[in-house]
Amino acid sequence: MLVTLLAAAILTPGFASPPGLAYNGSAIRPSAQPTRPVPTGVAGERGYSLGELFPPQLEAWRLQLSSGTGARTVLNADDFGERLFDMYVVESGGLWDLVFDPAASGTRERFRGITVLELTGEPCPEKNIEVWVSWEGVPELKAEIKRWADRAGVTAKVVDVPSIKSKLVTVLRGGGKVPDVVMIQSDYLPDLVEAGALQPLDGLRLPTAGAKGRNAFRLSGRLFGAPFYCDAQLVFYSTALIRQAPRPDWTLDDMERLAKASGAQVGAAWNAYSAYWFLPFVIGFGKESIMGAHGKMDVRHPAYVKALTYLKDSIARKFLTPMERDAMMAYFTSGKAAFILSGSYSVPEFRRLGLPFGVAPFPLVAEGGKRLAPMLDYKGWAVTRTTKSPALSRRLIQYLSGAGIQASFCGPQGKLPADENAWALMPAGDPYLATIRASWEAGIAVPPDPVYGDFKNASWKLIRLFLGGDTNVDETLSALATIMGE
Amino acid sequence: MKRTKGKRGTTAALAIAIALVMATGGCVSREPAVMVEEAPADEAVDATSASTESGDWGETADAGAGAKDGAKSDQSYQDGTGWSIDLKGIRAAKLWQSWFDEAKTHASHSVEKTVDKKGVKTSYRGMPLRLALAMVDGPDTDHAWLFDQDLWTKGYDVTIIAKDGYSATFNTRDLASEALIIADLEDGKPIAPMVVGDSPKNLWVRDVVRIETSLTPNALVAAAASFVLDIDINGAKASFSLAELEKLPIYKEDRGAYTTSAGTRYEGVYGGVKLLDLLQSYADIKADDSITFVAMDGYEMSYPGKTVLDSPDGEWLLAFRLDGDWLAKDPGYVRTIKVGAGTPNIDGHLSVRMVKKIVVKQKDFVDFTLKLSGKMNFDLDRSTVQSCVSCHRKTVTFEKKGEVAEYTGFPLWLLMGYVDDPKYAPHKQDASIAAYSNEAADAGYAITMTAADGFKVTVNSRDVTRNDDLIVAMYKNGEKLPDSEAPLVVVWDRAAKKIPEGIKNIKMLASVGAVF
Repeated sequence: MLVTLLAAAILTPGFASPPGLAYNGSAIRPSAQPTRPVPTGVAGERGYSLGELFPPQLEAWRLQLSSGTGARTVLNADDFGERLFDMYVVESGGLWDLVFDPAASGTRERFRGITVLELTGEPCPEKNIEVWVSWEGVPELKAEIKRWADRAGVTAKVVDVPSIKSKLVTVLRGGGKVPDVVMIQSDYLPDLVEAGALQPLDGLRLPTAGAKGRNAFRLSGRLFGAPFYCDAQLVFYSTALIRQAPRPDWTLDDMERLAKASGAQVGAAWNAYSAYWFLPFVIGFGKESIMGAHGKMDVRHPAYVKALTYLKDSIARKFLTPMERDAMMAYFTSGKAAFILSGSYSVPEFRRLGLPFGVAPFPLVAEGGKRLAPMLDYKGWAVTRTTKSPALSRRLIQYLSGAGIQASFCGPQGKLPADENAWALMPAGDPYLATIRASWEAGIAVPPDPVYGDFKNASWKLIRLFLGGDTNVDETLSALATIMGE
Repeated sequence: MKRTKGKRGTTAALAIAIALVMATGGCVSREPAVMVEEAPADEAVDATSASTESGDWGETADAGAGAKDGAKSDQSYQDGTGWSIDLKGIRAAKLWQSWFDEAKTHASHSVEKTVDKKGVKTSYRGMPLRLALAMVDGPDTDHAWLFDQDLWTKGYDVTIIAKDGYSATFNTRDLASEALIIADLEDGKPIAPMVVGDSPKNLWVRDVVRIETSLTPNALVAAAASFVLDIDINGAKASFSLAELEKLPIYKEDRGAYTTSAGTRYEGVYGGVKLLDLLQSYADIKADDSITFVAMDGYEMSYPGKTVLDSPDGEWLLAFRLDGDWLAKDPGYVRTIKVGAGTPNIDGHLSVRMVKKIVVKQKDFVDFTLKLSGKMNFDLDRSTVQSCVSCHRKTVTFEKKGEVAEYTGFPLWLLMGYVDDPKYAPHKQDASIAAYSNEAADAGYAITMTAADGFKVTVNSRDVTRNDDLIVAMYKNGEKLPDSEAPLVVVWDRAAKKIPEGIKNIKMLASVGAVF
């Protein structure tokens, strides 16, 4: 009887003829919020995540599958609550298949012809959650989190906080109420972990695709953030000044030649003092990675000399004009600069302004043929250590880690989802996406290492002194080595 | 004035660089992150609960069980075997399995809770959580620890942390003190310690390794609490913590602002103690007294007493709050700012960040002006010159007529950035624009240095440019210059790679000019 009732079509927006859903013996009332089909992990296939169909679970241990023939299959596992986001129903010939990886082996199994799914579990007792968000796309994030909260039947307070690390530290210091979930960038980790602000997420089931992103939030072997998206560094060029798109395998020499030929007032501009824009050159000039084998920056590596010398000479040749962000943007948007280096987050902004621009991958260094390595700036989600909603926080993070969510947010924002499975869902025909993805391939994530933070603080002053002619390259690197304890 | 000790390099550039890093707060020290042990853990069990308890667990004072054994050294509870749970409250302690097992032999320490686990009644036996908290909710270092029920009722946060890092927090106001146990038996079988009981199930945490309370100040609070502001007035010393400063009757909150050399204005409601009132409580401050602020990174800024005394647009605060929040270590914990009804706006370099010490030496403050001329003209006041020394500090060993002394100042060539072109001067425009003109210096112009008594020396810019061994000094052997040389001297290192042709030691330097 229950099966019959549940097998009746329950109109849930987004489904053609949805499966029946029951939880702890009761039918689930359809939500006003539609779900979206997302990749299931099987090539070319999309389905609906059980994490969106069922309420957030503290724990779930039994899933009964009923078929149209009356056959029943009971699946038992202690961790269904954790895994619902990675379990999908896929429409198949008017019925539904359940697709998931029961043994966590990387192989998806399929249970066919399902008409009803009945889950048994313990719902999350937490009903309120506070989330701090920042950077681009805040209204979209607020809308997405509200959508999840409405489906989940909980209340989410989403706050736009311009400087989350500073604010969280201030609140902790003052003994104030901390949020439950915060959006962080990878180089926040050392300070926030040292302050005891975050709890590890090692036990949280997250998409398997996205190792680069997960490593960006791993500190001392523990995972402190669930990666959400990354911004990739790109070369932006003015199509009014640079008539021919650079080749994918173009070099720094090509870039300089094109800049000179353009007659632009400024050939190329970027914040050459910042480690964020300097380290790509260090990699391009021969260093294998940002952090050395012993967790040091290895500032005595010859690539540092070459990179600094190249930048200094570029300035002397009047190809490069170091500028901080505001000045650089002003020159580019007014058509005075042929090339700038910026992040993919600038794409929507330039589109909105109607600028004639193109994007190119970072060029190669002619000698050695190595490409400048773009820095990948990952943003992700973290749970505060003293949250009173730890389970709900984890379910929200699993939701936001879903491929569909990442793709729908990242597309309009010019960002790249941290889950590579989500790339297939990005808007087709985006002229910039291929270049952003190529940058990601060549890119290196900003390391969540306190040594990097120290380097970032120390290097900008020293690079400024060097490029200003106050010090020579040996003095600069000696000073940097001393400060870095190398 | 005593020379500030800071990091020094062996090269001029190193000194410049490190001094610059120190002065702008770039030096860092980092303590190791606090990590938890590893391994996954299940989060919780489920369903409704009922509790049955054996023994006399209702008492809030643990005297019954403890008294039998007599007082034990706290040390015995710090050493043990088996699993352990770190406890943090007003004190820190460790709950060892061996002590836990011994304690359970006493009725009041052994409690059973029966709950629904996936629809099946499951019993857990262990020790009331409150008895573990009793070890750290008060100053008692020995058994029998008294559980503070009043504190529990008043409310504090308890954070239960599992081996995999999962942590759940509740406030004690929201739960009965007997609600939760630390269980080591599930249906009679041993398990890793688990918190379970009559509570929302998200608080049922398996494989517990740490229990923290808000009775412990967090790392940030602890660091700030250990900070002291030192005062040295004519040799008489005093120190204040931030808490002590806030309790002083001279605490005040009002609006103030500062503008950086790049033109950015920062404004807010600052809270702090009135500087003049604080100093006046130790000495009668006069206009010609010297007040020196020493920052945590060694940066120094001196004010004449007159600056503090005569402030019609507001009053100086030693501020440690901004818009209601404590100032973070950088730019706090303490910074100087002027506040008042009209939101006074001061020059950024006058707002000293990270103030650690205030030194007052009365009646030795001498103001001066260094006149610069060339393609532009500037009069640099003492505070600007002192900023130059702090940011571009260079010490040379100068020898004259057999007398050797260490002079501290900044390279002369940096001054020429003010006057070597008609447009740019140090810190007056975007930092991407270099004020100093290498091209002009390399092309060559005359640099004329004139003392207060008219003595004049002229050298060529080609000999001076980027020559860090030739300095304008403000200190000699770590102290202020003697009257015969003050306020500034031109000296050079006796091992200088290049000594400009025609250079002579200039005492009482009054002006520097560039002649093209």
